Amino acid sequence: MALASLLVAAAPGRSAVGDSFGPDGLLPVPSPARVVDQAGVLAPSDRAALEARLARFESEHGAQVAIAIVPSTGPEPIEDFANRVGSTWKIGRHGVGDGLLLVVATQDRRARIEVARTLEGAIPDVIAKRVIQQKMAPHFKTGDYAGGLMAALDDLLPRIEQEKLGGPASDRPQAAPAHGIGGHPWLLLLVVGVVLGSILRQVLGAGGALVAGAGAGTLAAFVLSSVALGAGLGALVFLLAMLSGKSGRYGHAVGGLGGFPGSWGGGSWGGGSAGGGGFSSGGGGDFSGGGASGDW
Amino acid sequence: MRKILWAVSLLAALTLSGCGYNEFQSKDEQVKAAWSEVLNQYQRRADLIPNLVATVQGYASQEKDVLIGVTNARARATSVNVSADTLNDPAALQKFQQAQGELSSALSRLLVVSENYPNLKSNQSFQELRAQLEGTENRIAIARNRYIKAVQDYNVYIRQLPQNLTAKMFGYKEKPQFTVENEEAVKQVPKVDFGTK
Repeated sequence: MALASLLVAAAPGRSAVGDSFGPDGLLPVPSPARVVDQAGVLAPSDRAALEARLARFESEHGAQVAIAIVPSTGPEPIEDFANRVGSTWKIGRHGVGDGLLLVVATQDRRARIEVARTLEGAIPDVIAKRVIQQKMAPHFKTGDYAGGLMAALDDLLPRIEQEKLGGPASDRPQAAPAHGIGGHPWLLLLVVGVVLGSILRQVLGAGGALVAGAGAGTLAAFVLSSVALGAGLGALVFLLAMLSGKSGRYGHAVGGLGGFPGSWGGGSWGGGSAGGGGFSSGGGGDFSGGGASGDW
Repeated sequence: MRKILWAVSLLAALTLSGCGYNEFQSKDEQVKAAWSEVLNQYQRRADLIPNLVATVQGYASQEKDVLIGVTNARARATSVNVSADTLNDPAALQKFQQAQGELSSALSRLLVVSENYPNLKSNQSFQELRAQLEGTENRIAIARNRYIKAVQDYNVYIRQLPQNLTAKMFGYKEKPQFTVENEEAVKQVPKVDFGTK
């Protein structure tokens, strides 16, 4: 009985179309890369050439272009799949949003050029459609996927270049702000709260620490827009202020705190470190349906 | 005494932000922004139609009924306006949806008919308009999806404790949701015609 139900439970997963579809019947979004080839239609050298070309384009002009080749998008239209990938990857520079995604479904014989909002001017739907019909389709018909993609890039990349969206990745500010004390309002609130709290504790007694805790907590709740975080921070401030007051020197707790933030400042959350062949999305692309699809 | 007063006022501020008032403002704004995008894309479609009709007319002027149908549906759709501020009215939203749905089906009739005219199909500007129309329909679908998600987010939030109390206090209501675009058309069984001549 138990075995039978186990078999029944296992059956749908096995009999699903291919083995790459998720439980919702949708193709899962692959992890970001310049070239994803789940269909295995690109020769290693072609793939390397495409990757190198896209990497060079990003380092020279900043815009991020990616290619995703899948065998089939299943029952889902290629438009929806492409938009899911685009909205998940969010390729394109942070604050600029210049991302472009080429999706090819080999068994469906359908392709889509998904254009982030920033590039809708450089690559209007009409152009995207024409590139699919005139550049991709003739090559795809003969099974030459690399050739079709290269031809498409020959047409598309100069259009992005002409848009003049500013220099490459290294010129732009870091995608995520450096996490100094300014980047962490809670840390600032904690330190200031504890200093004030321990002073108040000296002057007013336990009530002083309570006031400081409540004050810091309220402020934190507003700044971080989370009551739970605010309450937690308030409690922490109160506790530290009480402790520091006990030891008689209000500098104590702060001194202890001062030790660790040293390593806090330099951390960069890599928005653009594409060096070494790795690819990380700039996180700026807003894909809201621009582009075109076509078949061959 | 003064210390207690301080503590009380701080507590009050804390609870006010704890009842979700600020979150309401931001979620409400998100719904409005998502709606503006929906309107924007529908408008984009309406703007394409005069050119499309003119192009088709040049090659298939005998399809008067279909052409007039599109023109009329467009006129009706653009006359129904649901601005972000009147979004809370389910009847208005329903009317808006219906008008846009009628325009959608009039347009698809036009595209089906145009298949019968090879010269029209190979016409450059018709091809371009078609690509633009496809792109716009896709944008509408995505804008509608994002609006549905924003409303869902808002409606779930408004029904949870303690925000439902805040909602009552400030008179926030659940927002009406999009439904299937043309229910009648979906319900209809498609006719299969094997062309027995």
